Amino acid sequence: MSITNFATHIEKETKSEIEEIRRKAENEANQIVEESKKKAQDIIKEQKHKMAQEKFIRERSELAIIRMKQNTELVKTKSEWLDRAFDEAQKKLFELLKDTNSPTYKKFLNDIIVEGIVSMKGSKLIIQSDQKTNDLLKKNSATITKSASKVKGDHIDLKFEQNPGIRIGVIIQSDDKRQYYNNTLEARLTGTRESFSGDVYTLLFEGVD
Amino acid sequence: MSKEIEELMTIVEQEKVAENAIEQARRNSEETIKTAKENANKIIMEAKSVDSEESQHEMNKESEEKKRRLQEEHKRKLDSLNKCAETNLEQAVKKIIEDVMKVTI
Repeated sequence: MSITNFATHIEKETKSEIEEIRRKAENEANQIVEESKKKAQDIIKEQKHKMAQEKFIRERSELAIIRMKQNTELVKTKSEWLDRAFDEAQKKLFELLKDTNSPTYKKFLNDIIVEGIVSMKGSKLIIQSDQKTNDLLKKNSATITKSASKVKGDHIDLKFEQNPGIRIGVIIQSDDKRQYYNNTLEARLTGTRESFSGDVYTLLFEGVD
Repeated sequence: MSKEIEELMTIVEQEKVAENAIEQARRNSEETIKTAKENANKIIMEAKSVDSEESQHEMNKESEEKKRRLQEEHKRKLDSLNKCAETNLEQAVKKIIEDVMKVTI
């Protein structure tokens, strides 16, 4: 190879090597950037996923709290309606039974006394009531005693006592005062509330979707 | 100096130039890769600090909508409950009175 040819060869080889170095560097640089773009996409995707999960947990807990509060409010509202129904019933009952001379009161009185006597043991009993009722009972003691004896199937001996703490109804006591049966209107209302609330509840909210 | 030695020196000189050029190309290549790495780093940093406010806002909007629907549904239930109780109150009071007046003998 002549010197001239040799010089040309060196020049050509150098250009080729430089080109190869440049090409490799560009490829590597492109690869680095592309990988970083992919990594960036993964990071964004992961962040979004994390955010969505956090949001899901937070939202689920917030909605559960709201539902709980709403259920409490519904229960409270229902309970208020139940109270209202019993309050109104109480008012109407006191109105209905305020006149001790009315046939309704007399029948009610007779019924609750007989009911109490039947539920009690023994035949010697004391009937406690307010003054007006006490007077009425004393006046009709024979009829009441007869009616109670008939239902009880035994001769009943009744005493009547005044109790200013009673508004409507009676408290029946055994002669030895060890047993008693509270058949005042308040006690009957309490009893109805305990045993009948479920039915009133159903009745009040029948048709609620 | 003979002509042959002169030519040989020219070639040596040319070799030296070529080596310098290759060395420069290597330095350029290192610089290109360094710049690429810097860019890559920047891209990743940007991704890490992506402003998520928009998607956060969108999610909050969805959440608020769910809460609003829940409240509406609850209000509707409550209204229906009150209307129903108002309608049935008289009947319920009547039944309570009947139960209180009823005696068991």
